[in-house]
Amino acid sequence: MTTTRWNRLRALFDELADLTIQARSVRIAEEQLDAPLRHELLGLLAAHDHSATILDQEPPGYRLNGSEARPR
Amino acid sequence: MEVTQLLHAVDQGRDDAFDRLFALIYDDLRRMANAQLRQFPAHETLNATALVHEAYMKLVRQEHKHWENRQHLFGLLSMVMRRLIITYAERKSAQKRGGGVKPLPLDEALHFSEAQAQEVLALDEALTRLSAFDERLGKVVELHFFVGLTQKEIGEALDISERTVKRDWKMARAWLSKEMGTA
Repeated sequence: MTTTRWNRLRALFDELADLTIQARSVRIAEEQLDAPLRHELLGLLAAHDHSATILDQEPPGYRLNGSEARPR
Repeated sequence: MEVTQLLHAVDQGRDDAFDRLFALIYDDLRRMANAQLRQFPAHETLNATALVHEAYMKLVRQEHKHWENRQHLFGLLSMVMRRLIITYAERKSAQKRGGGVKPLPLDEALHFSEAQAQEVLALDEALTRLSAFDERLGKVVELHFFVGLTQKEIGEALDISERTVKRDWKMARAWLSKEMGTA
């Protein structure tokens, strides 16, 4: 992906990520994106909405040397 | 002597300065190790101190100690700690396959499941691809996931606003999730 396309993808994602599904659809239609970029954007939005990865893991607790409390 | 002065001394090849520097930043290192260990369920005792010591030893072995400032050092440490976790995950996978791989020193300190090891390895690969075309996004993820810095701390480390960090994290998380096939 070129820098130009990546920057455009980022800008669109930033704008649309927190909008409603309906509002996103309107904006995406307005942008008249080419198919690959549209596919990439929809994939990112789906990941934003639904994914749960190791990046989101917040384990229930842990012990440090058996005694220290969890710092936060 | 302040961190920056010690970094300068280390850069001049004074190994004693490195020891003093490490003592000065040890609490920070422990916090970083704690944050890293938080990424994994705590069914067993975790030892952040061992992780920090391992990170330190790897740092000492670095041939090039060119740190411009505190942020530079923490950037290097984040790479070291990422490498430690990935190495452990690779060993975990190799042992699962019966490769006769010797346990790492960390084996008694850091435990996570085979499934988690695979997920960490997948994340590492995806993160490398992301960093290839957006280095800052990759650094934000590294500092958050592998080092455990808050968004505010990441902003200070990278000299960008907290708002920018938040936007970067959101984009990176979505992209990595998509790449890892969990969307």
